[in-house]
Amino acid sequence: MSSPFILRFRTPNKYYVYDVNTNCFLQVSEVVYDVMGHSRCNSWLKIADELSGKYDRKTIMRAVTEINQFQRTENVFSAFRPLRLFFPKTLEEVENALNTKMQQLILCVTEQCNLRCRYCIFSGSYKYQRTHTPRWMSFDVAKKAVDLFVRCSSQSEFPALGFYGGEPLLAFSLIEQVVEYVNAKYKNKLSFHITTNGTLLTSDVTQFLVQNNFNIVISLDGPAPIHDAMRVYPDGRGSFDIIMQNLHDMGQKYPEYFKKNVGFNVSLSVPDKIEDVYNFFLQKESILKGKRLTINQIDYEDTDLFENGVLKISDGRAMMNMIKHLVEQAIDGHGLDPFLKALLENPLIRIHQRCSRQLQENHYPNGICVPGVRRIFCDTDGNFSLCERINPNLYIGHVDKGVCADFVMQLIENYVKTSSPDCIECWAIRFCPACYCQLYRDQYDISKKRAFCMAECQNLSLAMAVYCAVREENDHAWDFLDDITLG
Amino acid sequence: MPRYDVSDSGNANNKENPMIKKVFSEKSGSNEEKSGCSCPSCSCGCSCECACDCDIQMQQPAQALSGSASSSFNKATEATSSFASNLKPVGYW
Repeated sequence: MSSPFILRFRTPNKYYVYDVNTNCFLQVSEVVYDVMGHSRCNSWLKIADELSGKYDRKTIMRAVTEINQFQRTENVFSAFRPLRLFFPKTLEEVENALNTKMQQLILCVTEQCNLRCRYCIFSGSYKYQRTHTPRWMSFDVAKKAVDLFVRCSSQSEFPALGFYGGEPLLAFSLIEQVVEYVNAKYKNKLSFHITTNGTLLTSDVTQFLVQNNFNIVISLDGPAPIHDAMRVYPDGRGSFDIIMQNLHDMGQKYPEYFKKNVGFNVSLSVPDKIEDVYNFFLQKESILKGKRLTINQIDYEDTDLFENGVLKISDGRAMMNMIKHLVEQAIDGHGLDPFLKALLENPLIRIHQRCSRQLQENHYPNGICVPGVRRIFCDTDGNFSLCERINPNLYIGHVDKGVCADFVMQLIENYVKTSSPDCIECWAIRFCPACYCQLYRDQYDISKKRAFCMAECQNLSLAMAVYCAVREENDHAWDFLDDITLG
Repeated sequence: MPRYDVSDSGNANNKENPMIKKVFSEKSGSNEEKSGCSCPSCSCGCSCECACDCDIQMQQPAQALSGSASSSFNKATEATSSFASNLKPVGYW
């Protein structure tokens, strides 16, 4: 007989069981927690034997009785598992979404970069990624991609056009051309976004970005010693000083714009120094204080960066100190500062906004998108792929031919088929954010995804413990998560 | 969950000091309700065109990833145990 579909976890003061089928949390006594840990035993006497050093038989018997009663009255602790992952849309629906609901086009305007960041996925240290190349997008390719995108986003509420690289500002003249084209032909239909290393934000460039209301994401890893250890020019010089100077200039000249439109992407290259990074973004009087952040750990799959000593494995202590700080701040009831938000907000939102609908036989394949709809990535040659993070050779179309719905459907079906056996047995199935990026090397490879799953299960169980520990002390602490929608 | 034979357990006095209680229930107006998400089993707050949040993947240290994920029940157990071992040294949890 299968085990109950549960996860046990603890906070400093309490014991919990997360029941997957009902999606609910149960606060349990220590003895129930321990008994549930032996739920593969088919006899309470056997459990009693195994726990005899810790509890007397009467206590264990009472725990077992309550478990059985609760199972009957609340329908929890069921061993039911979904039968399969199931993608509910038909080919026609996928085709329709591709033709009308595209949300974001990302143009890779160049594969060249003026920096040589040591951990970059394009540094040559990642087996399945490209390296820096002198490829540049032509205006003709960009124009075709934009035309197709606008045609295919008629029902999209906020269609967005992003510029990506390499370092996209190396292709500033192309960006100017594209923006001019969009403004002339599709005035106010698209918003503009750019991800940049921040070194080329001269006053002219900044003025252009401000005038066109760009949203800017700048890569900045923390204080100079941390940032400059990784984010360097080809000659090894750090890039911190020039970025900070550019930010300072922008903040001085366009304070409102800087406040609203600029965010930062932080790569945690040295997780053991996360507190230094935190303090850097929290400094009083700093132009960075209160800025929108995303925090990434370096991708540890398919890379020699750890073997070569460029990056070191963390023991996790500094991260746990940060989590402790997060808990304390949340209990205070004033929400979280942007850094702590960025650390754990997404799983906390998923936990907080979970619904109590019973698990079904057919389960939606968790984090996947309809490739090409939420994002579509166009490389310098006009090939479309899923997004900027996946192996760029996984093409789903071309600017001259459009996006192939059959191929998109095939991608989804392969994902579902490959993932299903693992996912239907995984307690994290209702929260999992895994998508194609985690499954694809140069083909679908479940071993890659399993590494992600291990990390994600830890992350989610941590988030559950944080969520519950905070609500033990302040039941309304997470109310600020009520209205946030995950994009 | 297998039913255990506890016919000799008598009447456990559960009501005053329950060993199990449901806590932190779903908020009224879950995201699914608000967004009108039509996905048959989704609970992740997605709009169903995508639930992907690959922008932010806060992952645990790579060290914790060693070993294989043979079965997901083991996965859960391993996750919990290594979670605990990660947490204990900091003297909080």
